[in-house]
Amino acid sequence: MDIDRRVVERRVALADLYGTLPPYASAAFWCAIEDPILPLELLVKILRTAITSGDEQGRCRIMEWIILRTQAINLLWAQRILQMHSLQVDERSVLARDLCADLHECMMRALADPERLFWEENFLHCLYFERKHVYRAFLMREGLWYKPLASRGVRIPRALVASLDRLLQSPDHDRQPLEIEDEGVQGMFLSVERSDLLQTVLCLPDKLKAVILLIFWEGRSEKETAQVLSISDRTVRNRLKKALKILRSILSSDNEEAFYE
Amino acid sequence: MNKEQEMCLLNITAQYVDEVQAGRQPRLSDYLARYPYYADAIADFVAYYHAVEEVIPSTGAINRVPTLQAMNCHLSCQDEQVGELASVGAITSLLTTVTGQRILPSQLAIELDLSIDIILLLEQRAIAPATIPYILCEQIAMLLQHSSTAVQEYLYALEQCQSRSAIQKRKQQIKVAEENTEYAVPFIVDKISFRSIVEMSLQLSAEQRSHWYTILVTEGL
Repeated sequence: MDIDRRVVERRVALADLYGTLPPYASAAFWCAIEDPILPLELLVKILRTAITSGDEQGRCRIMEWIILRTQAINLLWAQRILQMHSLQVDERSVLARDLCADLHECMMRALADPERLFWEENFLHCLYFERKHVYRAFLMREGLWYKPLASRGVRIPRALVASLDRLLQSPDHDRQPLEIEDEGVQGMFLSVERSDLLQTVLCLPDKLKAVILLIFWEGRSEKETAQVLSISDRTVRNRLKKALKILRSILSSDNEEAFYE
Repeated sequence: MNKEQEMCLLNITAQYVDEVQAGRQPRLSDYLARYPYYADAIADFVAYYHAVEEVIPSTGAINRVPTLQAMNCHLSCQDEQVGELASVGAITSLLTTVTGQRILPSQLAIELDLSIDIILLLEQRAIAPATIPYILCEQIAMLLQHSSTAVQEYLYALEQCQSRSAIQKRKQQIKVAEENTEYAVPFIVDKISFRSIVEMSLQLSAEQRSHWYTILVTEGL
């Protein structure tokens, strides 16, 4: 009840704020837009007004401002994502940029879509979802996502690619041994870091996540889990078995075919 | 999932996040039982939220609760956390002078020879304070007519408060069958260094970048 009341209050506050803004495209309006305390939900609403009225310049200006306003938290998010995975140090800054670029592209598409109304109501929550999609795409691209009926990507370590480049660019044209790092061994060493349940669960197919979370995260029994999900005990056991098999293969990171049999 | 279902899922999960942020401990099973149609999607989001989003410190860019009163009194209002910090140093925003005069991020960017994106990051205290050149703190202090110590206190304040609260919050929220003590120290996201931001900024010109690199080298950062 309390939550519902807060949602209503937020809607009313946003509508009131929107009403107090100076006339569109006036100097005072642009000053108000640049105020860092102006809620992003309002900026989305204004952006969509600019799009509807065909104000291309205004659209670009507001869009750029939204990206600037969210850049910090998006960078922290990218950093968080990358720290969850064992990657080469020199890969991190490149991947952080890639992640942010992908996210900003998705954001721009979503912000320009007038049918996605929730952005005007709860910007941060919509951003969570957008980031989740980008994170999943990242997992797939890096070969860390387990999806049935889809071929799993094979990750090529950037250090390996870089070492090949170094060989080609060698000024004296001497033959040098390739410095290929063994990712499998590194993965084994880093397996302790990857043991966090929630992080690992992210790599599971959606159907298996609920079972794992209810049993291992919320401490429910198989029977209770079956009741909550309205499925049979047998299905719970099957899903659990499947999920554990995948988790085992993730943690040992050497058994690609485990899930595809 | 069509647009209507998507909207419904957003509402449900937003409610879950609101509960978490309000300090309650919502039970996933309640949500799954209440909305069986969205069970898989809810579980997917909840796992992602707790694993990734929950531990990212708020920079103050988005989380301020918008109210009409807040806008009327401009920056005098801050969210609870920032309000707490106001007592730590005299500065509550880098966009207000000691006399209460407002400065736009674009104006401050010109004065400091930085880009707007970096100004916003500084204002949001998203940059690791120890990596910020001292000369920049001095320039900000001069513009805002504050002492450079006050500027540094502003830049450091949120960091100390957030690391403490994030660790405490994370410790409270670990809900697994085993003892909490068996798990590693909760993960906290590090802030970005000033050097990385200078390197990554999309708006900084080549001259500005080189200028700030020189300063960073001079100050050994």
